[in-house]
Amino acid sequence: MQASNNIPYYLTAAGLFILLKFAFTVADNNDLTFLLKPTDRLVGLMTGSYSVYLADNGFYNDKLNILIDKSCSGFNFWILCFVTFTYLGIKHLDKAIHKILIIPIALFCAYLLTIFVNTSRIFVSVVVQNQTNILFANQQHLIHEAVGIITNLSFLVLTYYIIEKILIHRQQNAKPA
Amino acid sequence: MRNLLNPKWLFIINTLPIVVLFVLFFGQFNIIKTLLDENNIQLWKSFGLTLGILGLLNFAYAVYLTFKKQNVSVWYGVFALLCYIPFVYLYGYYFDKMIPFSIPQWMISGNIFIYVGTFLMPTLAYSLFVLVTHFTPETKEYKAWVNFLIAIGIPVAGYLFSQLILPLWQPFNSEFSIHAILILIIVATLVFIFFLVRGILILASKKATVWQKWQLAWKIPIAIILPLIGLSLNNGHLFSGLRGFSGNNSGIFGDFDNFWFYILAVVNGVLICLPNFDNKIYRLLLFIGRSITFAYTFYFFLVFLPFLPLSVVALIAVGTGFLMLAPLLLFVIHTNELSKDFEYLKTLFSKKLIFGISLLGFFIIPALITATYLKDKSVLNETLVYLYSPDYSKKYDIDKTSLQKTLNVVKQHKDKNNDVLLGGQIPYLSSYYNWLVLDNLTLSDTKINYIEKNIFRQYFY
Repeated sequence: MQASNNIPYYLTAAGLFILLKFAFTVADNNDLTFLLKPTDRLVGLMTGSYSVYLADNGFYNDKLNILIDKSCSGFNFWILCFVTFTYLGIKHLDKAIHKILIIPIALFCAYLLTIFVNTSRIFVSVVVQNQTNILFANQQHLIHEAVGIITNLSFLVLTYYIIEKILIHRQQNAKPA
Repeated sequence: MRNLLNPKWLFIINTLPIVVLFVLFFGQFNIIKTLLDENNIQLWKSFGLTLGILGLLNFAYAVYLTFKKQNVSVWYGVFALLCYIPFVYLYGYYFDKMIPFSIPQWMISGNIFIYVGTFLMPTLAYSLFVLVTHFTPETKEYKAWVNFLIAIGIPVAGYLFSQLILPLWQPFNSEFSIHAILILIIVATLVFIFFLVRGILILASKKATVWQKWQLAWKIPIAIILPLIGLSLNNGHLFSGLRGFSGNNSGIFGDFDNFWFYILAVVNGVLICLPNFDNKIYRLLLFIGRSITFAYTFYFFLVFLPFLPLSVVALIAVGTGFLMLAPLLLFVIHTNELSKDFEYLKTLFSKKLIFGISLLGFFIIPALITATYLKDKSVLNETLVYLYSPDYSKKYDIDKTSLQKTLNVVKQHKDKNNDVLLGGQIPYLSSYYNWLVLDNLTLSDTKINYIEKNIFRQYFY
């Protein structure tokens, strides 16, 4: 594998990352419905609760008293996953067509992972904050943030590690040409 | 990829942006300098001088490497990050003193604040790239623990970049430092935990025969004892004082107080712990039983999977993480046992038959739950017909237990004072119930009152 041949793919992924990052700065809740809606549905499914969509504020869940909006859409996590998965794929795949295809595939897989991780983060935050709201009444924002970091980073590292193991295993078992 | 380590890139990603930055800030300084006091000007000079020195050092280093025909060193990545991150951070901190509020806004370029972060971001991103390239060699072989560090280092580096470096390109508030410290502490803790878990798994795999020999010693706690303790603790039957640290009376993770949860926990645990004898009929029956209760294991796996990261931290911190980890470990053990059964039985029966049996078994519990819910729906509909549009030629036999259950759910939804998070809610199943039985609708107070008055001879207020 010629690593230098990978530069165009890496630059494409980096370009997409920057483009998406800029798009996020101008996006509003309506633009992020593709992330917010499935997350809200899954949170509702797990907790047996419902929310209403307010264009200016996002999805408001009355029972849980939470707002799922742009700031917790998981967009940054999504594009981070996309870049790391793309990096992995390009590093371990040999054929040019596979390297091209891995970019949209990584984008989609990162999307699915983001929905799952973001739902988990919100659900765990709600449960933990509900259990600690008396003992740590003044530190709820820190607890919320800490749960977010732990959940996002752990799942990111775990997924990355598992995918890399699978790709290495696939490479080692590949029949020689 | 190593072409990107060519020193000529430094001219593009560092020297050029810094020159442009100097031009922009020089222009801005000339416009507002008459309105600045001595301290403000001193800050301008200090930041300008620092950036100038950093830029010149970069330029000199790039020229030196170009003449020597060498690639950018990994130390460049380390030093550049250590120099430019504090610079951008301090700039953000002192920005309101460099351009005080007293200066009319029309004299200030609209986006001047983000110029520094934007123009230095290529250097920061490139430095990180240099580090990643260095630690992901194409041929070099490292020790296993170094490989592991590299493997987890890349996503961690990506996360740190997106959370600590990327936000610096735009204005950040005073809480950013708390955010940064929190991230660094958690990252350090998690990296330590990943290493710890890896170490434990390596040790465990080296003692595989011992684990196999004493399998009941760990199967019974994970498959029977911990699930029962977990259910009891969650439902407040054990250490009732701890029932929700917030003081509420509901299950922390959901309402799992139905006795079937306990029965299934025991049956499932026993089935997992039963030995795998080489007997055709016994093994087939065991496989069917394990397939049926796999739905139970899978359900709790789904409920507790989001808690996986937190449970590992909780395990280290307070030891209670065991209870949150138990459903996940149980899932792994259960899957492993089913896989062993499958491997054994496929030599005796056709694969399709075994697969069909397992699939059928898996759907038995969900089918029974659905049947119970459909019965509740039928009873509710029958009650409404009986009360509002009765068919006088028909005899109605209403199941009061089922109806009471449905009314309790509806009342619970209506209870505005219910500040309990998952009070009475069973993750996933409550949503399924609301959809299947109630069509995601509710009953008016008048109707509930009418039903209770006529069916139960009670009054609902």
